[in-house]
Amino acid sequence: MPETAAATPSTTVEGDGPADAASPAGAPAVRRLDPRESRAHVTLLGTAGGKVAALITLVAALGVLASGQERLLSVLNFGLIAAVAAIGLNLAMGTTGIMSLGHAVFVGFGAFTAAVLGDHGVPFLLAAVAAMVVALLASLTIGPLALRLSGLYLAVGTIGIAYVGEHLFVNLRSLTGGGAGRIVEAPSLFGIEMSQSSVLAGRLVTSDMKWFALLLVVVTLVGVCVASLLRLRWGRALVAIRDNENSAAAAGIAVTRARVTAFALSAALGGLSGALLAGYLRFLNPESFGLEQSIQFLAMVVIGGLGSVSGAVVGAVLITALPTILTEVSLRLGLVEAASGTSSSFNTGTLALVAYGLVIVMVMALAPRGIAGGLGRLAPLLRGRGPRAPRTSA
Amino acid sequence: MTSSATAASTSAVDADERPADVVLEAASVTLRYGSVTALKDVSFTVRSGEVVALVGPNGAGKTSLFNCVSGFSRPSEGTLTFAGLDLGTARRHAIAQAGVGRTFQNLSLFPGATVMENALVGRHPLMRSSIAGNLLRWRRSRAEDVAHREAVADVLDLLGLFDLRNTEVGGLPYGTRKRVELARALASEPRLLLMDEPVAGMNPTETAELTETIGRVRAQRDLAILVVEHDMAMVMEVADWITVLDFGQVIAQGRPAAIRDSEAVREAYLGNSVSLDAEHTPDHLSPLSEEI
Amino acid sequence: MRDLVQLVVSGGALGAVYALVAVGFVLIYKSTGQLNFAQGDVMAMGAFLVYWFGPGRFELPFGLAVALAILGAAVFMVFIQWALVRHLAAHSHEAVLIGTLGLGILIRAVLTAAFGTDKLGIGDPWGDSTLSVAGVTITTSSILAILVTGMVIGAMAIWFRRSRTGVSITAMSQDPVAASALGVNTRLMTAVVWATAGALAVLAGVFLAGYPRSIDPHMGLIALAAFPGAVLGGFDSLNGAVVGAVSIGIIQTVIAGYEGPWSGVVGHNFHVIVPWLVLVVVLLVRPQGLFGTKRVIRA
Repeated sequence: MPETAAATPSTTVEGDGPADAASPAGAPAVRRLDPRESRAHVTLLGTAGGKVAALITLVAALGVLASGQERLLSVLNFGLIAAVAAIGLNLAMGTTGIMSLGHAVFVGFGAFTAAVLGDHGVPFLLAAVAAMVVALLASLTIGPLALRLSGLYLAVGTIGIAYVGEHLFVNLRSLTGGGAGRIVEAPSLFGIEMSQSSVLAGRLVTSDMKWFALLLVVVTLVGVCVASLLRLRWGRALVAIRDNENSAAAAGIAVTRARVTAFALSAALGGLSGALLAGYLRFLNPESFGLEQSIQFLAMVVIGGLGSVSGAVVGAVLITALPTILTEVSLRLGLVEAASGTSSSFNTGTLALVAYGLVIVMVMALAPRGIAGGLGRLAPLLRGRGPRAPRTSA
Repeated sequence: MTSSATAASTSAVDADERPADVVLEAASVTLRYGSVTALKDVSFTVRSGEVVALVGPNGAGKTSLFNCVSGFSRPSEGTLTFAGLDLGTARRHAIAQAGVGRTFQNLSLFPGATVMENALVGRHPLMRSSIAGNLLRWRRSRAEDVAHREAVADVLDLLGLFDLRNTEVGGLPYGTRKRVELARALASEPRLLLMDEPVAGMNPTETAELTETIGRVRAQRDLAILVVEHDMAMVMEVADWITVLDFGQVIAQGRPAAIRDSEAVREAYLGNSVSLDAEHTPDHLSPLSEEI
Repeated sequence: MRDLVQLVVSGGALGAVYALVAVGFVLIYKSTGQLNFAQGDVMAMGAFLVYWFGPGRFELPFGLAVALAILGAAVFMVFIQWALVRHLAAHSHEAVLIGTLGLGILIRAVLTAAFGTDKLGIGDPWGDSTLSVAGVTITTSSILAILVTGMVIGAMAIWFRRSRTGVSITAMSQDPVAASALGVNTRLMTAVVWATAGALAVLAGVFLAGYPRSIDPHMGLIALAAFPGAVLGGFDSLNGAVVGAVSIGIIQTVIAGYEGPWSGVVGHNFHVIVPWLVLVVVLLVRPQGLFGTKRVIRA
């Protein structure tokens, strides 16, 4: 499809006053769409707000990297790893409307695949790709069947995936180490030893710094790809399936096939996240890829805003950082000591659980569109009248 | 010119004057749900460029027939063909891909999206980019999007929606949303457009607007339209050919004038052959007694 | 053989617990179309309330503790329906699902924070006593679970058919608008339904905490197995929910009894995933379950 240059006078009729579309009939002037407007919808970071946000994020990230602050980098690294999975879950749940409570299982498939391949000396990059493929294939075993079910049944079915998956991981001892877990070989990427510090141009570059840089690149790439998808033909098709299946089918979209594909893509991203986790943490416990973790991913996507890629990233970082944040806050405020009356279980781990149960409930009750939705509602107010930015944000 | 009271009858003279190109053909279509027979031995055709109206009292089987044509139901007997495609076995999306566009009686828009985005979904069958292409931002995917937005903008313009293209559909008035629904169906450049009660729930102003819009669409696009409707005034104005259903069977077919004068049709609607005058006729039937 | 009978009875008791949770869940779903994914955690909360009114804090007699817990749970359920679920339902089904899931997490976390993870006894008077029936040793707790559940559900069945409230609720579940037009106070009925589900959850909690188990904040997760039970029975059938849940309980317990030698093949604790495997089979073969109607199940 060649891009049509605007040979005819292009009139952008935005903000032309109240919609006069009701009048009309037989309005002789034929309106033509300015290609610039179309391109703006297709481009990422199309809005001024988007550009500013991206710039701020970039500067902040570079700052963090340069600081070399271990604790901060570590938390952010875990957050970014989770973000990859969250973007995937968001694609299935937020965009396509597939309620998946078994996402962590695909992360597990990816993690153990990478670990096992690492045992055999497979380079990390290759292992990561293989991890994505395995997770994708795993989703295809159950996907086509499960995805014909609607809402509630699908949700309950995915709980089943979570349980069966965890059972599988715990019992495949030779691969996963069973209840005790397993360690993962140190990964090397393009010759760089990711688990060790190196010296670069006279400065010390720690393992966490290397991972941070890598993860920033990975999350950006993944985010850009998925955000692009959302602005183009297939992204619209998936949203259509979520919002009104009959309409989508009547508009020529093969519903089940598209849902299976979205689910598979989401699983692949989960697998990538798993591989990254394996390489970074270098220890995997098969019990950490079941229902609890799946719900954690759900919390990330919900807070960020269903359907928003950047929201998923923000949500992932927030939820991952939550226990740490709570520890810091409660230590400063001396809360934990004061409240540990009945038992030793009132610790920050429990507090974190309370917090994100509360967060999920509050977000769904007050702002179902999450952070991204809230910002989305703010934006037109800030920008004044004019054409709205595309609904799906970067 | 009267038509016979029972079987699907067409005046020989009228039939000859219809366009030759058959777009949709229903041959002895029967649809049963368990013990209920929704359609019985229904036969009719839709020719290219025509507007065919499907009318009849409530429960006559109009929406059932529509569902069969768009693949949402499967006929128990008989055949339904669209441009050589057997609609009885084709998947819904394949039917849409083949060139059948459909609007729904209870609007089926995508609430959080803008008018343009809603209409763009309808463009899906004409676009070619793959999921991989979309993910990897290939030039072709992006360029395709831009080009098709322009085409859809034309459709929006035709329906008077251009100025509203970036507005979320959620807050728009009912009549406007119906037009967005129509835009989505038209965006796929269908050869056959199915409209399910397009003016249901509209006030006279909105009805007049939509009727006029349909006229414009018909004038400017090369397609056939099959419309289910209760509003006889509207039907009389836009239809080239009318098929009347009652209890799942075709009881009359013909040009609007013929149908207007038909005994069988009056019986079906009113249950007796009392003459239709303004006093006794419900609003939407009154045009039958008007001089046109 | 003796072992099998013991297992079946234990399974029946577990199934009774599942049935109470499933009936609560299906009752809410059928009458109001809302999905309470926190049902299992409300059960745990119920059990903790009994403990709190009993040996934990107030040391009231067991029966009184249970009664107060039922009252507390009923009030709680009505409250969350009014304050939270109602608003979620106005938004979308997904919102209700996610919101109640979050609520479940919250309840679980608060229980953990408040009561810790020590093994606590619920204060029931029958403790670890057993009966000997035809040479087979069965725990009193199991017998009571089965009997009480049977009576409660039987009473509910009669209540639905005979009482004005029950009939109103049935009407509401079939057609809320029509029911409303006929004078059914849907808001009151909704409250009644949620309160009932709360009461059932407390009973479930009491019996689940019976010997050889104890109360723990993660009890709610055990009750998740009630969902496959409801699906097996047919999601819009209360009878189905009971049959399905009890079946799952029995199948699961029997398999747990015999799975030892097979753990090399199917893995340890295979019985934990049995309900979910049953779910998969049901959804593949007969998604409407045993007694459900073929509504919108397949996309």
